[in-house]
Amino acid sequence: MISVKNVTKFFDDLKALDGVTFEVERGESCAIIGPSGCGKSTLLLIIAGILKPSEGEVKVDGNAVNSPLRSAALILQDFGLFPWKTVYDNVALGLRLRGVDRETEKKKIKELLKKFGLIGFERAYPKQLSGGMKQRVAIARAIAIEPQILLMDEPLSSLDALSREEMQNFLLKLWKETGTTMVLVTHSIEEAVFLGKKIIVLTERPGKIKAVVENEEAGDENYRHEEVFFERCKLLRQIIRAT
Amino acid sequence: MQASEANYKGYLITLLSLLFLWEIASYLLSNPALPNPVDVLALMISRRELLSHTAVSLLRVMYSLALALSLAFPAGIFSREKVVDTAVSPIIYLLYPIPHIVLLPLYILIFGIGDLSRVLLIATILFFQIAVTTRDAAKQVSEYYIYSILSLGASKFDVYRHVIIPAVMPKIMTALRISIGTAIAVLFFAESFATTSGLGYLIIDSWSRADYKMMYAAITTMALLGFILYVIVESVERRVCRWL
Repeated sequence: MISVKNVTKFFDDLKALDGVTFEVERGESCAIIGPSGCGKSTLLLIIAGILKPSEGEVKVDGNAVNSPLRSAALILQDFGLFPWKTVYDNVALGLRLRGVDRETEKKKIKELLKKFGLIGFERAYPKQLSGGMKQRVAIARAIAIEPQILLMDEPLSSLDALSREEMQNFLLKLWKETGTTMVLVTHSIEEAVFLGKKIIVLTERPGKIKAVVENEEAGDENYRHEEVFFERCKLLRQIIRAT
Repeated sequence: MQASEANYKGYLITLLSLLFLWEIASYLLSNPALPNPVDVLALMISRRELLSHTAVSLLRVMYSLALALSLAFPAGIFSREKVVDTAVSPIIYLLYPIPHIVLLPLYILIFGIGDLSRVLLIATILFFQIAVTTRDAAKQVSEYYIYSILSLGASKFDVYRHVIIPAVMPKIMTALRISIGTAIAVLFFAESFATTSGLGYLIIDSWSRADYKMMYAAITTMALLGFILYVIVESVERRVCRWL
């Protein structure tokens, strides 16, 4: 379980987050949505243990987070992949940093590349790939270390609408298969409603919690076509617009 | 591959055109101060001493490059660390704008008239060129790359190995290429004074002896030296920065 308690973050004099408190159960999926510049990404980096909160604390399974979480994987929107590493080396990086032996690494990476439709591109560099493929490489790299928590910062924002929907389905499937706790930062209302069983709405800077929307129906590919889905989107839109 | 083939053709045509222009100019001028390129090239092939002077110069440049790079690379890279930056930055800031070439007399006084003072002079100048570029490049590495690798469980050493160093490599290669031009220019100056070896010495010496053919042979060899070093750096760059 991730528990965020009273987290406030200052960048010099600029207040980015203001007393944010919420919890995400183990195996739950949570979407964080809010206007750009509201500190969503900062919040995610704090949960990952990469940035330190100015006040408050983050606990994962009862332990305070003080350094980068070993049990969590982070996927960033554009800069996640290293352009100087091949697809294979990018995906294998987490395993190598953890000192996994080469044989195990090879087997595992091959399996992952197959699953993510990247066979034949092992030796390609990120710039040779399409946006959707790059995104799959980034997700494969995160999954390779078998994280208990998957933290994603607008992972699909650079994709066109069609591949975006495809990747959303893919993420949903992945979440169901692996049972990881998923925290997704997004600025798309539909994406938040499709993927987040819990949706946290932040205000403009400094980011405060405006509302927490329970969205238990999420978790099925067909949810997108159901009446409840549209109602939820409408509700969320109203909450975001409301001042 | 086709592009590079076209490049070679371009180089060849340019080279031949230059030689042709030189030929015409020397014919029109008909002055011993501008000898015929064919004579110069013939001299370059036939004179043994040219080879030994070239070897001396080449070694001086290589030592200088190696020395400068081995100091400037860590100084630039680790400027990301506050401790290093506060120590190194003021030094670079204060000493960089000074024309280091004026240090030659001083270096000769301290380190003697041998190779050492000349190598140190070239290395001093190259150090600043490479260090400044590397430092700026290292500071510009996007935080997101660092977040990304930290989240995968990287240590500080891993961050340098997998992110900072590969990210600054293209800039370092550019700095090296620029450095080669500088190195050859400084080499000429460093060898033109209180020495009896090297291409710079040969140019000055044959100039004063009015042996213009030899002077041109030495100048052409120096140009060739720069060109070859440049080509070497480029091929290293293609290997090291395959991803570009």
